[in-house]
Amino acid sequence: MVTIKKIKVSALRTIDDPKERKKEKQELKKISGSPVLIILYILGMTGIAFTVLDLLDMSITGFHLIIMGVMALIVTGFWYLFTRHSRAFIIVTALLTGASALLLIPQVYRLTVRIRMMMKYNVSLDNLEIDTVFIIILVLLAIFFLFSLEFVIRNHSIMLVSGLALLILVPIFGHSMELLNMIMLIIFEAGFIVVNMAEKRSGRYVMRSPSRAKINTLSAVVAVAIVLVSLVPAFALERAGEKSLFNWAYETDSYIKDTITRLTESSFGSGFNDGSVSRGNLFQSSAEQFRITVSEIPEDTLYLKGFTGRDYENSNWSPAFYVAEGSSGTINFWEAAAADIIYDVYSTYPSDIPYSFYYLGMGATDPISEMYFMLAKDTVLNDDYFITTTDGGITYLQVNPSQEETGYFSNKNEHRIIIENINPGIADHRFVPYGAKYSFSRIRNVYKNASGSYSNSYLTPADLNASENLGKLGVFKALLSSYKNIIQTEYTRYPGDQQRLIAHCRATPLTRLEDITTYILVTLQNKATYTTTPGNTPYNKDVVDYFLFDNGQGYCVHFASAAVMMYRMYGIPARYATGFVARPEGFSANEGSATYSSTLTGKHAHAWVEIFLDDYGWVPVEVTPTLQGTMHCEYPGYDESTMRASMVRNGWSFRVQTSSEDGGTGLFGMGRAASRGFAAASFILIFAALFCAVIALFIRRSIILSKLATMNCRRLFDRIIKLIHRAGLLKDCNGSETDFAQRLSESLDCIDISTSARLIRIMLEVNYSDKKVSRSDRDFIEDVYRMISAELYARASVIKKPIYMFIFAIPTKAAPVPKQGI
Amino acid sequence: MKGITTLLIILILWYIAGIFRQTYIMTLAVCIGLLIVVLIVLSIYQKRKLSVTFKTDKTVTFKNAERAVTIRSLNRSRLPVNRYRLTLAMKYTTDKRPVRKKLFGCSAGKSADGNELSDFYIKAPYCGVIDIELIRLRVYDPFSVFYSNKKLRESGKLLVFPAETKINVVTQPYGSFEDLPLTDTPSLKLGDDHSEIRQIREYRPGDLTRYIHRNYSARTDNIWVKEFCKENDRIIDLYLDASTPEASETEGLDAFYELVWSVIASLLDKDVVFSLHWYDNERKQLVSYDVKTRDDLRDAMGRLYLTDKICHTQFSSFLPQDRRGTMLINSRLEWFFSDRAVYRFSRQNIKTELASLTFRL
Repeated sequence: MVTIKKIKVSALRTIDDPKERKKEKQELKKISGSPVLIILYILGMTGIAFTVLDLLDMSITGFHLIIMGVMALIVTGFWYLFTRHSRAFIIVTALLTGASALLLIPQVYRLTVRIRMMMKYNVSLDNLEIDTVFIIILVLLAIFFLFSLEFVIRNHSIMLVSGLALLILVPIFGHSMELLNMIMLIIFEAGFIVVNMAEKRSGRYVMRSPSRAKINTLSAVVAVAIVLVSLVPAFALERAGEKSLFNWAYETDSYIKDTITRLTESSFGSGFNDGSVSRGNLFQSSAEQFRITVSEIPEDTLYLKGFTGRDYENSNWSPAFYVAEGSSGTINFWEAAAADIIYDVYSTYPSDIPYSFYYLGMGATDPISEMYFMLAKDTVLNDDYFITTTDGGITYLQVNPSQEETGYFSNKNEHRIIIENINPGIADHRFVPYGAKYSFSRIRNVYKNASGSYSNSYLTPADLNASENLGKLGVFKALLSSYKNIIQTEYTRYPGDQQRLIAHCRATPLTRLEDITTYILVTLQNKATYTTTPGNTPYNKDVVDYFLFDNGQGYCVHFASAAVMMYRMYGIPARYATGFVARPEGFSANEGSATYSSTLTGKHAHAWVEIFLDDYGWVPVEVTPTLQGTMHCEYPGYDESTMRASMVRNGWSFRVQTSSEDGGTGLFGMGRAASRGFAAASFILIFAALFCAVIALFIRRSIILSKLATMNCRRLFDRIIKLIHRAGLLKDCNGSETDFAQRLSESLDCIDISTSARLIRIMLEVNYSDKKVSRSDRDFIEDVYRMISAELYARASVIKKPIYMFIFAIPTKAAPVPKQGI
Repeated sequence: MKGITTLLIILILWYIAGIFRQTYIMTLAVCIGLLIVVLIVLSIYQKRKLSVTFKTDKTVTFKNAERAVTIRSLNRSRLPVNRYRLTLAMKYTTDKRPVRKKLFGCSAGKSADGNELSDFYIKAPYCGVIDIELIRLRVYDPFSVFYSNKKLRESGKLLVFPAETKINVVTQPYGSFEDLPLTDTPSLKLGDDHSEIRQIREYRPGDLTRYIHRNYSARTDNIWVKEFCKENDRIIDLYLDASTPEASETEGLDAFYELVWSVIASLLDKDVVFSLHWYDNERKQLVSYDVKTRDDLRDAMGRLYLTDKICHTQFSSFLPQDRRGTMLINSRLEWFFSDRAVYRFSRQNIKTELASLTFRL
């Protein structure tokens, strides 16, 4: 069998000689030897360190700067040893590793013991104190590790991923990426991607080139320049297309969530069937949820409540009701807050408690079948629908039993509201339209009638006033009183960590409900703008706090949550409610029947506030402004005129919304955000301009130097004269003087008399002879020019050196002209 | 893949910047988006400015020895090319499919001369001619993310000579070998008798400086070298027949070249000079080449390698009637001398046979 051998190709030659191999390795190290790389590295590390400090909520102090300076020195030391004295680097590495191991082992042991003890005695690990030595060693090791990664192993992937992760983590944890930090980070990333990625993919196939180190360095500089220059138009584009860019992101966000919802057949957007207050943009699913059919188109918005919030914690409302299986198989919704009153009232009126409690609005049998409703603005006490009864100075509101039979959306069949589930996902969610008018009106079935059986009819005023019913009214009053006591505690709680909101409310003490409502509306309107795309709330921030005091943008759930907490801070019992709203214009006539239907989608989801009013119970309060920033809030005893009166009385006003809602003024009358943008743009522009100027100077210099080789004798001599004059020498000479050669050699160390004499002889030939100057003579003048340049550059002060280098663009080094050549 | 990763990074940064309202990160996302355009344009520009060729179109090496082949890249742009990729196609002339390899290199910009020489190394397993072609150049942007391709048509040849195997040849007294004619052909062979100059000729690279005729060179503008007469060389007409089917296989041709090289090299040491003859299909006739030194041998082998040796007629028809003192080696690995078979080698064991057997002429 013949084995077919293949031609072997490699970019690396096989080196058997260990010395040769060592030499080859040394050559490879040259790639890392450019000072540009270490500068880029230190810049990058500084950017990372500053960003991490920002993430840890630590401001940068002088101490931090000193520490970073020390670290930069250490890294530079590592780099110097690695690229120049590899043996010393190995020794330092070994020593560092050994010393670290020796110091770390006892430290780790001590730490382990400490943690064990703390766990044993249930001491929080927050109290764990870590030794400074331990931290210093870890930091040193980290520096060494990162240095080895970039310079020794030359693998940039880990740092690239880390840099990107940092860019993503900063906003997630509620911080804004600082421009300077970002620039330092991307300079570092750009430089090292260029250097390390160029030789990626199996080094066996990368051909060695003697100028690889130079090419890498130059490429890194070019790449950094390209990135920095690109930042300027990028910033301009970002400013120009800001709305579109951000809106596209929001739309993408919504589209992704919509798709997920449809795929998983889940019900609604986050926050509308539970108490979680959305941390992101409003996702308005277009998926149909259910259909409402009514016998007449409502004159006002119909609210369907699906969730009632009790306590707010960690950007989440806990439910006020819980579900319990009824004895007859029905599902009951019990108000958790009212559970305690059972015992209190039961001890006095044991026989009446279950039913009273049951129908007080604290619970209801299957709410879908009950089909209670309310109209938001229907707050005018209309005798056709309401009757009142007074007891002990308290007026109780009650639906007029006779009117209820024919009332607008009663629970009678002919005016029944029918809710059909369309989305199977909502089967488990029950929406409770508000009870007929307000909950206290539903005092029926509470009392036993004279025959001892339970009455199924409403109490008439006569019933209430009848002496045999007084006791029963007492039950009601006792129940009401207990309930009010309970909610005064249960629904006025707010989290203590809402420091800014608490301070805000405390700064304006108020007692009157209409003033409180107005103040809440004014606060919300002034501090926030309605938008469905407020952006995401950082994960370490509270939604309400961030919405009101940082972001200033939000939608119904944010407005409602903030308002509920403000009400509570003023001692008004308030609840958070979410559900759906069906607007009159959404209904359309059904063919073949005298009914009207409206199909509700995720876009009809809404959140609002419920406050507890004497005589009315829980009433909805609309605190979400319109897109134009206007507030429409009405409830019994409060309407626009009340609001205006309160505003005038207290000297409050609504903010006039402008198209640029940037929250204040900054430079040249610009908004703060615009001003920030302008400052950043200016900074980038100046930085980029400086960078470009330096690059341009380098390019100019290299062009001029490359032209030296083709310059004729006259131009070279002219440059010599100009250069000497610029250096302040022989200013009275123009080169034609008889003693010029003598004086030139006396002025400069690098030129002896024979050299200057030959220079003058050649120039005389050039100017006064027909003979063509030989190539060697021309080269001689160029060599003389280079020598003079090098000497004058060496003599120049530190300040003048850059001028010589970039403005005069002279060669700074020159090989000495061989004497025999002269 | 890197392009897709870059797009993903842009999307992630844009999404994060969008939903968290981060202006600077959005700027960075836009900046990277712009960079993509810049980098693509840059790679196209640099592709146009970069040309890659072989430093020499022919390179000589020995079988199984590592040999550097030099690539010259000329970058006419001011910016350096941090990374380019060359696709090479290599094959022995008898192979059907080329072996493709990809090599990476870099090239300095115009400001740094722009001329870059880089080596890659080839280890050839068989003797013969390897055609090396640069078929594609891919120029990357500085970040090595985007690239631009260019088709190349640069070709070179690598002549792979056999590693010499010393063979043991014994000449028989009163045999054909002794009957070989002597020659007075000029020679520069070391150790020759330099007493008599046969002729002078122009200097050729490779000639030793001690043979330069200084007086004559000084009188003229050219450099001349002396050739000495050597009287005791024997001449062998060696006919090389590579017309058999075995010569169409790389391994067969490898064994043939190895045999030819070893025989000639061993007999050169025995003061034999050769007149090689083989069939040139292009000229449709036999071509001859004199081999007196190892340099001649290399030249001759090089010419042999590059000749189309396919013979459509019977090779024996080219042989002289009187075959005394005539040697024939064919690609069946048969070795004849004076019409007598010296040995028939096997392809697999030729190395061992050459090294271990004694051949009588």
